[in-house]
Amino acid sequence: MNQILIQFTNGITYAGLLFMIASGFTLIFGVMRVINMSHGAFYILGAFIAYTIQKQTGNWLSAIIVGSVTVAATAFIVRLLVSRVKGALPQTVLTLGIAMMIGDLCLYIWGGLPRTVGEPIFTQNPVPFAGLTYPTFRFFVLGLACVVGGGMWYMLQRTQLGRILRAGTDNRSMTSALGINIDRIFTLVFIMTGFITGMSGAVGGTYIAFGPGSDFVILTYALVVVIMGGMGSIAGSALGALIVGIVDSFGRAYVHEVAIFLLMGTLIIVLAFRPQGLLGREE
Amino acid sequence: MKRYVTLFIIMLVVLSFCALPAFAQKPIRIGVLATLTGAFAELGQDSVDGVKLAFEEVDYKVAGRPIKLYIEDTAATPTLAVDKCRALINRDRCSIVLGPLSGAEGLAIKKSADEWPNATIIVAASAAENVCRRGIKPNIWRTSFSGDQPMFPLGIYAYDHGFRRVITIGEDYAFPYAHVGGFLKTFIDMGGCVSEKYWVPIGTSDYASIITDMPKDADCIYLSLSGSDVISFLTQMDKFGMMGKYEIFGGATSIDAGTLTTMGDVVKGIVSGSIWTGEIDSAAFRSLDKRYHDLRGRPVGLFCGLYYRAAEVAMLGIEGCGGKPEDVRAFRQALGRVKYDGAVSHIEFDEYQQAKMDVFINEVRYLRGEWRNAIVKTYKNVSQFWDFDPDEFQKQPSYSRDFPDKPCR
Amino acid sequence: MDTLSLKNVSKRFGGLYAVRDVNLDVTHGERLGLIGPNGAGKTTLFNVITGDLRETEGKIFLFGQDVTRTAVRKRVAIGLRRTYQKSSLFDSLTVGENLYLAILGPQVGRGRSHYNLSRLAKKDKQRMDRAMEVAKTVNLEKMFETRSGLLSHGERRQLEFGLAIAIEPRLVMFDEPVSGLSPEERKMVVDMLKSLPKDITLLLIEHDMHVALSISERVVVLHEGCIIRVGTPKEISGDPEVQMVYLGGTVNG
Ligand SMILES: Nc1ncnc2c1ncn2[C@@H]1O[C@H](COP(=O)(O)OP(=O)(O)O)[C@@H](O)[C@H]1O
Ligand SMILES: [Mg+2]
Repeated sequence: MNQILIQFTNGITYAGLLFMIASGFTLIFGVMRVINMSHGAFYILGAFIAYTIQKQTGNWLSAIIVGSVTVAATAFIVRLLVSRVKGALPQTVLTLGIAMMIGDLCLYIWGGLPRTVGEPIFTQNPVPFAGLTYPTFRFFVLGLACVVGGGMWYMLQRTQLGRILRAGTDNRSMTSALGINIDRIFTLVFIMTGFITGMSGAVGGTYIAFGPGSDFVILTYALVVVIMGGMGSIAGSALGALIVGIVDSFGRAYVHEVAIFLLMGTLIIVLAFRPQGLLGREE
Repeated sequence: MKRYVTLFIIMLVVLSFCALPAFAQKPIRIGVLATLTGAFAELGQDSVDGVKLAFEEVDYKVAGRPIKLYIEDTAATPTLAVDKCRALINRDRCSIVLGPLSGAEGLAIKKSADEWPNATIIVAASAAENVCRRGIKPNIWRTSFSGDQPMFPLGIYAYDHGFRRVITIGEDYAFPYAHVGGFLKTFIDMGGCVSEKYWVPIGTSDYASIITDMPKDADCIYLSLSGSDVISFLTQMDKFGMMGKYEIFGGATSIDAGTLTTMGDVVKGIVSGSIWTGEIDSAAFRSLDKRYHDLRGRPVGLFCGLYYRAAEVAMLGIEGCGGKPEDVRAFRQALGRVKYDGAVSHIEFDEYQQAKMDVFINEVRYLRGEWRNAIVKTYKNVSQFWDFDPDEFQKQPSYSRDFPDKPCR
Repeated sequence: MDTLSLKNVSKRFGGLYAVRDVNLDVTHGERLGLIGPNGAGKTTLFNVITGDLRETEGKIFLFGQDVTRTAVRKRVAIGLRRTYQKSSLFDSLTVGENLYLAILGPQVGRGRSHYNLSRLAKKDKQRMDRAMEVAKTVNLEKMFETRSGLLSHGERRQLEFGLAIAIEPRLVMFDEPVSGLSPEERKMVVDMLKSLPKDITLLLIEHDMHVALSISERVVVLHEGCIIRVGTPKEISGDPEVQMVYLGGTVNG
């Protein structure tokens, strides 16, 4: 019983991080129809910058903030480049190129060793949980994901920007026909995504090692979660992340040899019944 | 008469071009297959450093002939490795190729080896089990280890220190199969058993479910993870407060210099088996370590060492055949005779063209202001078959998830 | 000053002229009908006027301003509105939210206000109130909180009408607003069209000759991208060539 509770907790704490990674990715796809291939690069960039700041100052919180803000700024630049190209497919290809550039730049600056960001003091004591000492940091990540998810929900449902974003996801050309400056909204979305993804990198990098190559691993996670949950849907990302996290966690513990098949099997079953993903809409 | 003079002069010119001293001055072309991009980029850079450090020592001159290096990036992909190897041999006319780095690349090269009868490939780092086993190729020689080779002694060592029930955690592909397999082969042979085996895909980031699932009655963990996986695993073990609950044994690539630099005191006391060590007290090693340290600012690691070794053995072979590796028969005979007292180990080839080498049992300790692998025991001249009978050994199945195994009851 | 003025406007798709050398002036407050058989180029002409498509040749003036190179949303900001032949709404948003965006859009486009990340500010309350008023004029006040994806076809047409006239329209272009409607729904939309204030200029594509002729003061007939007739409804309905063109194409009503 305890074991099941623990694996469940492992699953949802992992899902927290997966959700943060996937949410920005799905947001960009939702409104712009661009598959942002540099998403994983945003993640490792955030992680590397946080690593350096944490090492220099010893202050985890400022490391996370600097990491997030730098990636947000990078995302802004990426957005400027992307807006020079017309069409979702060329834009997607461009983001792939940018991903490689950022990856190589990271390799040049930080070298090829895998790293982790130093842990903050406030989570250094594990808490007793279900007969185990459970790392506080994982709970912290879950809490943070809830805050991010809640914030996104509020933004989407309750604010003007949210209405425009939902409208843009529905019918992009209509937004221009109503006089909405959708380009500026795209820029905003890129910056927000950069911030959240940079933060995911900095936070995730505190307990999951990263290095060259991690960018595409992260991109794959984002894709699996988002395809499962439905491209463009934030709630779908949350659901997708939960399923991936929990299936992965139980799979790894109980049928570890076929864990990856179990995960992909779940994905295939979901897609067989709902090709657009759990909460995705048909085009 | 004038015509004869012209003819004579032409003959003279032609002859002087063909003259032997000129031939001896033609460079020896040596190709290097490394992984300079992707997840193994750092290892690839180390490999190239290793080759260059070796040839710099002799000023790129062996047996009177200059050495010309051709370096190619394989991105750790088997098909690319074969293509690049082909390019090195056919286009750049290399007579010796050093590399490749990863297991699958090594096997792919072995598969295509018959294409290149006039070149000799010295496998510098690929640890695939079957590179020099279960059917060998005359032009494939290996100075690095087979995946199981450094693990046989570690299994013995673990058993000798009272451990009986092991949990193995490895990435889900051939190299860790061989790694875990080597450890289990001797560990089970002595009387130990397997409490649980976990196989994870490369790039697995979250180990919480494994950490919380590991059987409590096991007494040690054998770890064959690499790169960021091992760091994620150990970081998370630490966060779960599980460090110290089990003795941890590590594979050759798990606790390397990179892990040490990144992890510091978390990995203190971890015992690993390796053919490499930071603690050999020989002049050759100290010089290599210093030169590498000057270059990169950290202790010299496994892959630099492996490629350095391959280059040095190649040089001995070239010298042994009078400076003509293009004469493949002579060169390969010379390789077979090589007795190399290298920076960390004595090296010579067995009849399967696989190097025998020393294996070190290392423990992570803080030495000279750095976390280093310190030797606690050395096993000399370890064969790829340990002390099992080679024929019997080659009849057993290749290593896999399920072989070898002996569940605890 | 004409409300809309087209000078030698052409639009070509590959080798096909969808619109060819069109010259047209629309005066303030005019009700202009645009008719022609299927594929005549009516929708394409609308798309060129709004900026959704870029013309191959020619110039476009809106309210005296040269807008040939102006982005869609900037044309909207100065008072141009349209509906689509194929129903076009934000399906996952409520009727109220659809109208809200139609009110917000042109204001932001004009740089009068900025996007507001925060909660519904006071201004938004005003916009929501205005949205409610519009909902009433298009008889959708009961559906204010309903997701527009759940509306019937007739209600969708009503809402599209609402979006077009939600705030300060000066020139509204309707692309077959009654197509696919039942007779009662049709009557409701026609009444709404007729009751539009006189200072809103109206451009109407309508396949249904009755509807087109009953609303318009002047009718333009488009055929294979060219204007072939301009006249009063009476002149046009009696014109043998127009009859021919319509019989040659698909006749509808
Ligand atoms: N985007 C487009 N690409 C190519 N051809 C088009 C496009 N849009 C319209 N057309 C063509 O232009 C012509 C005019 O179409 P349209 O303006 O829709 O006619 P109408 O609205 O009068 O029925 C048609 O032959 C149509 O096939
Ligand atoms: Mg049309």
